[in-house]
Amino acid sequence: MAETDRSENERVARLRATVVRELPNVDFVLGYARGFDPLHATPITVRNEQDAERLIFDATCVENLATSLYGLRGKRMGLVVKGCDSRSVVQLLQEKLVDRENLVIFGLPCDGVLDLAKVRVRTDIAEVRGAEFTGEEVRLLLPDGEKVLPRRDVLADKCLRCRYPNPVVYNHMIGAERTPQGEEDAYADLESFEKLSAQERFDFWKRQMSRCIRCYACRNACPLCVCKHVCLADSRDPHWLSAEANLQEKWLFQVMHALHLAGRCTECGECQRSCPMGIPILLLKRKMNRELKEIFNYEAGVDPEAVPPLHTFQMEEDKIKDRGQLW
Amino acid sequence: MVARFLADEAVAAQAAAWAQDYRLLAPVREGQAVVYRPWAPDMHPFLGRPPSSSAKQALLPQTEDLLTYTYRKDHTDLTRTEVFLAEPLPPEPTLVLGCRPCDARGRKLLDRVFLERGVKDPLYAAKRANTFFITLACERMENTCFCHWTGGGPTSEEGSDVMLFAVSGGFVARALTKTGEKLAAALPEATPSALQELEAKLASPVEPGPVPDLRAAPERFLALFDDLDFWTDQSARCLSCGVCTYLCPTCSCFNITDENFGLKGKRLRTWDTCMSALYTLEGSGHNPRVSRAHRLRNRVGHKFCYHPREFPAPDGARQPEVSCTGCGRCIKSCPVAVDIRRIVLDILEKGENK
Repeated sequence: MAETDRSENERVARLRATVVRELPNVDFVLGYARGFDPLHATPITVRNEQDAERLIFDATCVENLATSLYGLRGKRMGLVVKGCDSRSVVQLLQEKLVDRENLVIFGLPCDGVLDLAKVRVRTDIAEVRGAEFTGEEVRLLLPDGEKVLPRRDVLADKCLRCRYPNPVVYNHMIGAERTPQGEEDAYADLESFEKLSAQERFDFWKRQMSRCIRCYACRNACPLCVCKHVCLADSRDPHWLSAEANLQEKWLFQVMHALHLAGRCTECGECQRSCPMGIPILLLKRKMNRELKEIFNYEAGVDPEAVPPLHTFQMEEDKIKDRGQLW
Repeated sequence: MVARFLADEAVAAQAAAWAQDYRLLAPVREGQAVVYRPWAPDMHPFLGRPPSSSAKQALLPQTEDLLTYTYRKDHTDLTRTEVFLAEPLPPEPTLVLGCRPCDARGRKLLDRVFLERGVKDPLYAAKRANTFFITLACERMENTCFCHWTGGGPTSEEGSDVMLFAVSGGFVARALTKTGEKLAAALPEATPSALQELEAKLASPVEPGPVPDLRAAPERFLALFDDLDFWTDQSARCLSCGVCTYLCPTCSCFNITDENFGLKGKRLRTWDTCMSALYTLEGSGHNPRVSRAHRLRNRVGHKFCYHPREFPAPDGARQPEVSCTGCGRCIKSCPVAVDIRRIVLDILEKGENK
């Protein structure tokens, strides 16, 4: 067994033991268990030692469990988080949407998670039988033999630019802290997209959004989209959106989602990952975040004490020069 | 009926030929998804893997007009308003190319709801009578596939008009209905070697995994109905989104809304999802299915308990009729990997001792 495997196994054992120790203090712990195949993890509620034995942590643990926090507020619960997930917790704390006292956070420094879409492009995983993860590789056991992929090629984009592999808020840090590998986000994807003409960009979104089935997985997977079913996408009175499945309705929701997340979105990417139609909606949120970075030099979900820029105002903003028009 | 042959390189041209007589829906690759699109001259039907969305949309579209209406004010007496209604046009004959057996079998379960419950849904009936399926038999079962639990299989013919079987260089086409024969008539006969290859393939079918005995599922589901801890744990992962229900070939729930634009408007039928809190939200503000646990319970219960109780299988049947064809889309596309098979197995196991 490789060195990394051994230390990772020890880490999961530590996670299980730590969770079991905390069980008397919480109603349950939300963590990851193996899903329906070796490339899928699924969230579980851990209530006893037997449940804790099912806990895992590896590159398949893609889900951001902080998404459940707001819906379960009021409960005393434990939560397993990666670095990126912990930023969602920070944002929820800043907005006073969850109580820190009710949370026991198990923070796991993370080496990056898989983007299954990237794996699928490289090999057919519909019948995958086994998966192993080392520091450099993803080894897949497929019906017709083993397939080895370089780990970097199949990590989620957010992991390649991750500067917070270590949870920024936690009760228990489980595992050695990782050295951040990502560089300052240059928004290269956005840059190249914005080189297209307005018409080309509109055509792109028209094509992409025409697949949308209005399932609102993007909204419900978002840890900060806390309106859920009182969302204005569902409201009949006032009647913002019609029930029609046309571009206008679908697009209006996405624009709204992006605007409501300006300065709040930590780019966990759950909206895009959850889309069954593979629509690249994270791009819209990245656009907002880049603006926020430029105007307010602000990054969401890093400092629990910070006030998000759109939650406050200053009489004189450094980079907003429209005051003369107002009075 | 002789077996026909559809060569790989003839698929696009043949689709174009069929599209002259039918509104043709065929799967195409778009980004990470494979979706059904109406035929277009530059279309390249993609038959390589099961489509992300189900063929249900041919019979029950995401939205459809039930009627359009116009109000007209009486200018001599402004308290009077007349309403003029217009019915939608009759549906075009539709051909679905490249669905899988689990999709085609979904027709039967949709019929149960829309045609066999005493009231016939005229819109559905019109579409149903005019929609045909050219189904591609599966050569393997993916990790999410469980058609064999529900009485189907990778080569099930139920609900299809033509079956395609992949062989080298193309597909052997077998017509199963009168319309199927008409559709396949334009194709050349299959060569003996293609037929031989097919026979050899069919002689060694995929070996599906074990099948649980689902006959006890309805009773055990009801035994667990009030065990909210069980359902809370099952639904701890659920996001309450509509992926599972909208991609399902058998989910049939819909909403009806009037979309007003001044003095004109239309009445729409739209897919609805029991995973949404709004689904059961009552006018009073009360919601009988207040949590994700309640809602997930309903989805599983409908498919594996209420449906088999409403449509009991004949005596001596090995499995009940469930409202599921085992296509596995709800598992594969679920953002948090909720596995309905696991839930059913847990029901069978934990419901026994209740």
